[in-house]
Amino acid sequence: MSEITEERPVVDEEQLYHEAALGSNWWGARIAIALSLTLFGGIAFAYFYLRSLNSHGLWDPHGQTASTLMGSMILALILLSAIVSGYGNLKLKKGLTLDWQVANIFSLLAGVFAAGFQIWELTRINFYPGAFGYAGVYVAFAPVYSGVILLGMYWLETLIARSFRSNAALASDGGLGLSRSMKAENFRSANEGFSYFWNFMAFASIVFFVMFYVL
Amino acid sequence: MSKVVLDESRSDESTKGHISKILISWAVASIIGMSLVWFVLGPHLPPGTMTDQAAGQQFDIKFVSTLAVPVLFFVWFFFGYSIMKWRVRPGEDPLAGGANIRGNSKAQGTWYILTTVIVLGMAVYGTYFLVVPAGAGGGEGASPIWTPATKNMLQVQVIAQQWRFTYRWPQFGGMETTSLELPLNTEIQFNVTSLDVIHDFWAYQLGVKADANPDYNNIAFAKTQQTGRFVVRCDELCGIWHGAMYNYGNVVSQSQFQTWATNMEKQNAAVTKLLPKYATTYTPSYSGAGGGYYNTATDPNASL
Amino acid sequence: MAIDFSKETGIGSSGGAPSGSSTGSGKFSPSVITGIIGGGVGYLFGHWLGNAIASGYQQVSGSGSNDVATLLGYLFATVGWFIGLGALNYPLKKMLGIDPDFSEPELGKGMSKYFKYTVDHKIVGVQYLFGMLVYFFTAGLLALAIRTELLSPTTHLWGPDTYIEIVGEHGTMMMMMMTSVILGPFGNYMIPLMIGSKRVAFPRLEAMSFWFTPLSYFILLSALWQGGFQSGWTSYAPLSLQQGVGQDAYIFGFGLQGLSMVCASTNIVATIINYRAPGMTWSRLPILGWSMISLGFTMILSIPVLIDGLYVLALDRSAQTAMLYDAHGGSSFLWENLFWFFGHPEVYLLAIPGFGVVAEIIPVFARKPVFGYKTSAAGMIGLAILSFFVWQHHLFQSGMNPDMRPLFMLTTELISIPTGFIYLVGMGTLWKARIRLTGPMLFMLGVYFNFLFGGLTGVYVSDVPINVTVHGSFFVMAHFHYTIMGGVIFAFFGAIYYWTPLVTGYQLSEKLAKIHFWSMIIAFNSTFLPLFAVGLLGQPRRVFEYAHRLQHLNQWVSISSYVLGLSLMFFVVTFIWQLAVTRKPAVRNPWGSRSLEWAVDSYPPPQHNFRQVPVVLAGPYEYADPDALPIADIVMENKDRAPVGVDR
Ligand SMILES: [Cu+2]
Repeated sequence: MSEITEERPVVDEEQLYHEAALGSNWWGARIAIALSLTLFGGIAFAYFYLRSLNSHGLWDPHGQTASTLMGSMILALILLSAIVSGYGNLKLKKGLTLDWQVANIFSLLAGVFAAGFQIWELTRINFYPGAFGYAGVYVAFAPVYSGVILLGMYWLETLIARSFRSNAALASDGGLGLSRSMKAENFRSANEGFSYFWNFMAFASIVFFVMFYVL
Repeated sequence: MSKVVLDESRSDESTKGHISKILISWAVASIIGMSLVWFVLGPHLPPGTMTDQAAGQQFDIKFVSTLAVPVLFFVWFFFGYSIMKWRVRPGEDPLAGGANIRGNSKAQGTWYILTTVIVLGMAVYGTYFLVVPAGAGGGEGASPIWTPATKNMLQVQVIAQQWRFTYRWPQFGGMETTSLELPLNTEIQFNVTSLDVIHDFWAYQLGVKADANPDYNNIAFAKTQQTGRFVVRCDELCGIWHGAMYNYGNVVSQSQFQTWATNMEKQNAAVTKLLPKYATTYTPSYSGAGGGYYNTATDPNASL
Repeated sequence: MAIDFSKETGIGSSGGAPSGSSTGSGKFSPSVITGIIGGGVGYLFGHWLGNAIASGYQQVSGSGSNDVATLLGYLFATVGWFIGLGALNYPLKKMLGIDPDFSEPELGKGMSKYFKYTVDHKIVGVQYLFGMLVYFFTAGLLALAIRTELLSPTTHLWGPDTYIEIVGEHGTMMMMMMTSVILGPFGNYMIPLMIGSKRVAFPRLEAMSFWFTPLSYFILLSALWQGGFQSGWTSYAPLSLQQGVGQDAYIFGFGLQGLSMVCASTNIVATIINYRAPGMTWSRLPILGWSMISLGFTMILSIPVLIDGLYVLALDRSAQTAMLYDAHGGSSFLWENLFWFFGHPEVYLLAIPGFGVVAEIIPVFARKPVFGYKTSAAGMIGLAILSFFVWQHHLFQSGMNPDMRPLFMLTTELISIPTGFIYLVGMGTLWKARIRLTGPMLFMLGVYFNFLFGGLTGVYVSDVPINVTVHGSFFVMAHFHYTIMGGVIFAFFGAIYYWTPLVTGYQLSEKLAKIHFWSMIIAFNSTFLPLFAVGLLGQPRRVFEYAHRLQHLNQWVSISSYVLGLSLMFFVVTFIWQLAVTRKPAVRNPWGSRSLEWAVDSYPPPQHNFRQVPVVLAGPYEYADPDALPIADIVMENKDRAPVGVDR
């Protein structure tokens, strides 16, 4: 029924869909950031809204907070994780895949510990969830926060596993960091997407730390 | 796709002829329609004229309805004309192209400007008729910024709970009644609150509507200007018996109201003593809806 | 299940070499059956766990049921359902470090593929189409139940609790499915074809988005035999805090639907941006593509807030927080804000795809380029952006932020401008056109007719003084039924008539389509037009008792609604009959469209859409340009039969 006209330009489908996949990595990561931003934005709205209303003077009548020590530790772990992961990315640009792997395994562990500490902190709070406004918002925040961190860590784990699986095959070509192969380019774009997301999470962590422990 | 065949007649047609046909018939129909809406339908439009706010809303509905007529007719006439005029007739090539018009900066520009002007005009109109009549009968929150000129207002507190309305009268010893009588030619301040879930106080003929929120005082104003009966309905879903949450009230002459109110105050004196002090909001206790609505001295749950 | 460690599926393996290790092979063959088993087991486990950890929080002591148990039951049911469907195999395999796998297993001929988790966007589209029809008809029957109750102002068919549960189910179910009603079937199916792509960006997210919907459907329905929820689709706190476990079904069902929307929109946005064929520039993108991308971004930025709101409500009900309860430092306004911050973009999420379908189909039957292409794209983007700044117009009488009312009145009325663009585009396209009044075209014109009432009454409700009268009344209810049912659902049925030849390979009868259209539009207007009057005359929404003087109007409406139901039943019967029994084969390009989706080799399209990636040479709407190139370097012919819907 249909035929192809003669003056058809040559389309390299493999290249075309490779580039589309890179673009999707880029957009997928940005959409993940947008989704988390709105998700946390809703919680931040709840925080500031209830804080400003201060119904019955019960936003946080006694200035209680969750353990600041634990909170600082979680923040420190997340920041450390983001910084080390970023350092690993610098090394990857120079072709040092092993350095990237070591840095990101550390980063992964730090992230997982941060999420774990967040859950632990939640079980150790010295107020009832419904005692006052702050209590409720904190109890709402903690599982979402650790859940998003764990999803991020799942993402990082898949990248690390990918790097182990494919690096040997790419060694002759400069490894994952420098190889011009599609596989390596796709990996690097996925990794770049993750690192943007993770930096966003580090930023969100600072904001929520200020909200829950400083303000 | 085979080559596009054009129906040349479409491109050659004069635009002016079509437009003037549409515009003339539209203008005639609009003038008739607008006069019908304004003069015939207008005076019968809800919610009536029992208060200044109701009358204001009636005017607004009449105004917007009148303006809607030409918009409605323009779209109808345009679509109707186009469909009748430019339909493919039997025997014609069904796939021949029409006029190759991708846009028309004049038509589009006029449309953008016109809709923007209408919309901004509507916003200005709405704001004016919101601010000047002191909130147009709608709930204005706990500290209204648009208030009636008179300070001499009858205070009526509307207390909603699942599933009835009661009324408290701070100017009559803080008594609470189950019926609502209002004096004629009086500016009334409704203080609407709830003891449990969100309800909405909708006095239809008074043109008053305000959500009844727990722990929140929502104020609305209206000035009565006709006597008669009005219906009060709950207008925010509040549970199983939401549909049965209504009662009736009356606007009566000022002397009748005075008699009614003083009688009620006397009748209710014993009950009023048990009520908590008049306040803008009442907090339900832990023990359930309405549980805290008693004086602490006599409240069996007070220690909770 | 066995995971093939040796397989190294490269990114470049386009064209779908069968992948040995993908789901569906081996002794464990996941399908909807295993999904149901998984979901059932998960529910029982979660319910048991919830009762074990929170037995002290039973709503009714000794009932053996509490909110924690119900919510955990649903949570584990979801996990079990996806395990059973085999949807988690790939994400788990990714943890072992495989590269992204874009291969699609070869699909068999039979029907079984429609009952499986598959990554072919066309299968997902068909699944969505039938899923959404089931959704729509279930919720539609609930609407008839409401109208039956309203035949009389006093005698009651149901108890007031059952009545209000039906109202809530109807509203929630409709609002949940309407967001997907165009995006799900037609966005997923048509967009890759229209942009000349062989695949979508995130096929698994897309498949996931569909498989959330049956789950959310059953969870939401399950509320009915758990005491329902008496708080309506808006579920304002603190009423929603009072409810029994039926409210948890609302929370979880709506939340899953939210996740479904997020997955679907992530995929559609990334697909449109990245997978357009060479030459498919932004200025050649079909309008449906523009509507889908505006829709996708709006969903991405609003749905998480809905999920936040539902989550806050769930915590207040289960973990005993007090974020929505004033007396403990919360506020019932919080829910109203979170809900409507999502809820208002939501209603434009419904309108935008409807407009996209309309602007897509009208040029085909007007034989003219779409008028003001940029205007129509700008209209959709404008709607999407403005929709984020209007949410408090639902709260004009709430007493919340009363000083902000003029601002929200302004933003709300500004929305009329981009909505007006859609009318400008439609009217301009019909000007000096060559109009064929086929079945699909009639539905598109029906959208314009109905939406006009919806749009004009929108000005009434946005005007704060008038809003005092009409807020919460049947007027508002009629208003949004005109925009949603009169707009989106008419577009939906028009799209079904338009694209069924492509999707199924069978032509639908024009005559039956026209009977359906005329009966539906007359019954629809006869049902909803009187409701404006009913509302203005003082009948609030969601009541089972109303003033006696309104009985005749209500009876008229109820009887019209039965006719509307019959018209829709007529569609179901004739649609199924034509697909299953008469099976009239579709001609090539039956409507004479230029758009790329009709250029595929066969109807239904082959699995990988195109033999080669097409190179786009011109826009899709060049119906009146004799010098225009064909849309792509694929030649479409329609010489064998006359296009449908014309008398030669
Ligand atoms: Cu009520």
